[in-house]
Amino acid sequence: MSALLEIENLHVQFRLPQGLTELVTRKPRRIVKAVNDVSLTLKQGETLGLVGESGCGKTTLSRAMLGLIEIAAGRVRFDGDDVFNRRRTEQLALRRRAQMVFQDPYASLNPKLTVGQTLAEVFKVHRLCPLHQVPTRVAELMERVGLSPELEDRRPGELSGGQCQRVGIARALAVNPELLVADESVSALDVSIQAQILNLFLKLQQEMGLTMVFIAHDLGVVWHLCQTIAVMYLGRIVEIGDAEAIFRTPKHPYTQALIGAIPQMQADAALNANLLAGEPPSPLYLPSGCAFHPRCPHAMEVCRSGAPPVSHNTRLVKVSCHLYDKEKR
Amino acid sequence: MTAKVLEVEDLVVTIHTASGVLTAIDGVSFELHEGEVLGLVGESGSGKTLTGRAILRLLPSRRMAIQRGAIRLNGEDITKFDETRMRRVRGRSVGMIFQNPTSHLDPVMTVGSQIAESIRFYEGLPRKESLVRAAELLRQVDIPDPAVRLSSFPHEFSGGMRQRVMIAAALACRPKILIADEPTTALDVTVQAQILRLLLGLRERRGLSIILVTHDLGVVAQTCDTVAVMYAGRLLERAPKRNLLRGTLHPYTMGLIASQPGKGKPREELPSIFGQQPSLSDLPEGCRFHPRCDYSEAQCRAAVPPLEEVDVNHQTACRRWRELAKQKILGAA
Repeated sequence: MSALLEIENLHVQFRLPQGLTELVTRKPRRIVKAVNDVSLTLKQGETLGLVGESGCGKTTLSRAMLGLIEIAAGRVRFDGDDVFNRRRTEQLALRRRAQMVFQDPYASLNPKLTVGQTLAEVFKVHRLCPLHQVPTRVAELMERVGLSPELEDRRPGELSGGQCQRVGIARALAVNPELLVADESVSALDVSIQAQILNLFLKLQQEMGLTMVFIAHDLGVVWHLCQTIAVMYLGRIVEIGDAEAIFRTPKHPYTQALIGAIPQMQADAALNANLLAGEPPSPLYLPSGCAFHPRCPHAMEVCRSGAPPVSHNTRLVKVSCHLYDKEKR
Repeated sequence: MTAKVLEVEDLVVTIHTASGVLTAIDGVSFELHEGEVLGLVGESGSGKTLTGRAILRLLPSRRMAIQRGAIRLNGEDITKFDETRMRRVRGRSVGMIFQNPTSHLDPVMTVGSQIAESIRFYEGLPRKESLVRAAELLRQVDIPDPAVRLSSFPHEFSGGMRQRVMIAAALACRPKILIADEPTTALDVTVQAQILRLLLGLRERRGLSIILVTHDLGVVAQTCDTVAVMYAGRLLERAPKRNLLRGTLHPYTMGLIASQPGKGKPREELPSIFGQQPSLSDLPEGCRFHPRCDYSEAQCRAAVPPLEEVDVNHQTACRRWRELAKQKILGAA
């Protein structure tokens, strides 16, 4: 299997607006390092789950994957071609192959367009078929994501959350993409509806061989859907690899805490005693050394200082943590 | 069994709309005992939040009204109280916290004065002493440097810390009951676990009874003693947590538990409940769940199933629970 998406040493930074006092005192602009030296490869047909607490840079990374935001350094290649530095026509060509589904099903749809119009727009913009075929293609698409035909004339305001999310998915699938990035696409939905949408994603994966990046803060969802998991903390990937291996034996202390905090649905479940203290610090003031060390139960002297540790390969999983320094090969 | 602190009986809440009167909560009854954590579970629109608010008579709109039923707080029916007496109930007897602390804290008031405000109002303590109490409350909800943080504004706190502030404010006048409406839904799992632990700790220390409104069965499994499942304004099942998770006696609860990802085999189809919850203006006849239920029969469509006592403290509103339990579809495996 070949690599569909390659990310090398990606950095994304946001410059904060300056206040008047900062301008007068000529303080340097503050910079948020949202994504910090991230490298990963996504194979054709693979499903990657991106997890982490809010503010860890998952959404920023996913947007950079599709060339939707400016990057500070690094490279993102889709099927061998750079995602950035593209002309408009090339940009459109990329959009035909890589699509995104957003978190908020209402906010990502135009409230004034009917479902039919929203979906027809894609066919027209990308000139995917002759105009007279558009209605049939829209009908096919709606059937594929499980929307009943009579919804075609409805506007988003008249739809339920689950139905809106299906429209968002249908819109992304209209171009028959190879890569689908789903940013928290089931978080806003009720459990029974969430299960329906997850099943839809599974079906699409199997039927179309879709490569997917699935961002979620719900680890149960990621466990169910993904083969590979990348755990992010403050802009860095701290652990990445086989989903089964990471869930069974998480290596990084952060991953351990994250998995320990998932509410277990057993009759005798009790709250996990080993809770992570505190909340993630602001990415404006990244801690020195390993960014996780202030919250880490195993923090050592070496974690506080020096450059953040490099990844060490265990067989299926790469982890960035000093605890595994000895296993260095 | 410990003392009953709250009893809701046959609660009916209606909404007046241009097209007629809708029934948002239809005959809900439950009770809360001292030191108990009751989980009120359901999907959005099931009426779980509205039930929580109805207990404090804080219905979100003037078009809504408690049509029928009794809410007994230590034996007294508070639906009969006037507004003055209700104000005392809200602060001193029952506290409430919400999903989104940012929109329920005053952004232009320091955290200290927000907490102290209710202490001054209800207990008539002078400003200085009320601030001392506020600092003590912040300490109890594990906010570092409480004396310093008194003069911080809500925007200077993170999401989890704001939720702690709201808990401190709700508990300022030592209510015996806390209604927590999705208190951890907007938080990360790691912070969610911290807040849940804090709530359970407060229950231990203060003998607090908690009504936890949530859609997350995982949270219920970790924290609740009893669970009440709501659907389209009705109570479908009520049971001790263990009974409910080990052997639910309602097909809807069964579907909810099964559709939770994180069990079974990855990348296999999740069992899901087809369709969606009906809208209040278009409710089905009989059992409200029957159009989505795999086991519905003519009798389910014909009449509303009553909430039947099946075991100690276990009630279900399914007419077919006996048959389904015999066929090993429902109940303990």
